[in-house]
Amino acid sequence: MPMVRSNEGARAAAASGGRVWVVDDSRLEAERLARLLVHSYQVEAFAEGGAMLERLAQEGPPDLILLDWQMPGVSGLEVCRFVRERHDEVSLPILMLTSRGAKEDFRQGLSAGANDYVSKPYDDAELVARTRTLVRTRQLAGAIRTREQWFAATLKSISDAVITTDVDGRVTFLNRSAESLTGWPLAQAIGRPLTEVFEVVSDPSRDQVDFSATVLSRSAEPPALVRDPVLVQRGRVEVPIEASAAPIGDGAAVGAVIVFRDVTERKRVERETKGRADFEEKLIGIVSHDLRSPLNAILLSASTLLRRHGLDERGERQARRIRTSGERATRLVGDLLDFTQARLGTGIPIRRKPVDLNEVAKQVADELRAAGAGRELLLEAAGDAHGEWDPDRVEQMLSNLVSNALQYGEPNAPVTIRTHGAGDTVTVAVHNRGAPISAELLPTLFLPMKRGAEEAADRSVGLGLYIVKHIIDAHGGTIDVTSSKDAGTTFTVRLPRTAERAR
Amino acid sequence: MKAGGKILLVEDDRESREAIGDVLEDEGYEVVATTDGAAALAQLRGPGALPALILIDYSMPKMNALHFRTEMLKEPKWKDIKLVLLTADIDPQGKSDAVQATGFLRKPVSIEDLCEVVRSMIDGP
Repeated sequence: MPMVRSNEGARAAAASGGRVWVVDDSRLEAERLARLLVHSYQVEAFAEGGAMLERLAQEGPPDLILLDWQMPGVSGLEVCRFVRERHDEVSLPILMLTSRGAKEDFRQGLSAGANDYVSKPYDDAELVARTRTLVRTRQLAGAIRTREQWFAATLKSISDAVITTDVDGRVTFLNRSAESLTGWPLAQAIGRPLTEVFEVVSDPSRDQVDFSATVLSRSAEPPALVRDPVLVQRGRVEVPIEASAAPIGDGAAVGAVIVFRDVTERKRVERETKGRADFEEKLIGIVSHDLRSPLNAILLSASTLLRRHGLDERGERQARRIRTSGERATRLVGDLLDFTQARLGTGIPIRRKPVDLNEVAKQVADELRAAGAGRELLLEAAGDAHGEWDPDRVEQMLSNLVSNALQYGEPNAPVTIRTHGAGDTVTVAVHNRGAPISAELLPTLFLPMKRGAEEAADRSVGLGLYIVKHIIDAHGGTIDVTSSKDAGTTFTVRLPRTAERAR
Repeated sequence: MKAGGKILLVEDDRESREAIGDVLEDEGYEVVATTDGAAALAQLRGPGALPALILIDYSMPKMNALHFRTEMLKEPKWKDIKLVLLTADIDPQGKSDAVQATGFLRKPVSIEDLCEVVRSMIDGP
């Protein structure tokens, strides 16, 4: 960097250092001071106090006034007193210049509000150093004031309520939200113990909570978490709040700040949400227990009637109808329970055991052959179909897919169950011929109540494929479907053999 | 002739209790029916032979199966009695494990499953 400074540069540097006004009746003195300071500050010289005061009234104060004490006309003392009527020692420092040995002047000047003095003839370095100190103090004070304003504006405008206390736990400040929430106006609250203005009990123990004490106490123990604090307002109305407290100051705390808000509305929403969840759980209870016990009685009683052989043909037909309907109701209840379980996010519980999927396929085929009059069911098996799955759930899944194929497939064409074991995965595909599933239905097929609920009397309110999907999900597997007029419809399920493989 | 044996049936739902009782009596078992865990404990403490099997519903208003089982296992002469849990839970195995049951039947139970499980418990597999 070349050591050349343009005038522009010098002015910019001077401006950034601050503004210093020199008041001296001696032109020589004023020029000398200006020379000393002009490199660091923007210097302006006044030959007498009146001109300076006039200027001060017109614009903002400088960072420092260098004030000659012995001046004709308005004296330094008078100027000093005048300045102090409007500006304190921090916002506008005054450095007085006096004659050496004029002790009375120092005393008088300092008590009139001068910050410091230098006696003439002065040492240049000393003057520069004292100037620098005072300008710097003034600038720091300015920065603090800006922060204070910023802080005050923030506190005023935020919706959270804020209270601050001194080190003894006495209120020093409340923002507007705190005023309205506690019922205490700032003017009346100041100086009172925090527990009087911010009266808080924990629910339901009713223990009184002193937030300032928890943060101001010197004990090493961390403040205990206050559960469900309740604010007792000045009018004795209780409001549930959420509150936190922190010490003010880095080392030893000089006070405490408490931030809190009204959570009445949030609590209400929480209660409602919990109420809904409780209701859904209750619904599961009704479905799973209260409905299953009467079904148990219906099915067992119908079966007992049929076993005792005392019925005529008509009676037997009726008993059989009771049993068949009971079984159907049981399936509906089961699907509804599975659906609720899947939807609540707990998922369908599975218990893995060694299973041969070929065995399951055979069992499902046998049962459905027995139920569906004369429909052809083909089994094709390739490879090892062993794995660890929930046997009941895998059977439920396959039975559901095959029942669908029988129901929606072409009546005179066979339904095929094809298993294929290879590597870590066993695949089972269920195929039927017949009208394809429409393209717009395909993407929503595994969502609840989508597929042709209106056309199927014995289908469980369209929950079947939704549950199938969830059973497969629970096993870490996948299901795909392809459907066309020529190839027919194929559901393909891939199941990882073990839980480890499923990850 | 059907195989005999005493069964203590604990079920709060009256119709269900009577239907199960009918089936088991038809099978030739002696059935003592009670409505909750507390009544079942009183039955065990009373005079008469101990049952070969306890068939108990999980959820009951006064004393559920879990509580009953805890009480039952405190008495050494009862701890060998087999216990089959009747449950409507979506995870019957889990409930059965919790109760330390010998076996379980999921509600609604088919007559075939009921007879088979009871027979195998009393006569052995």
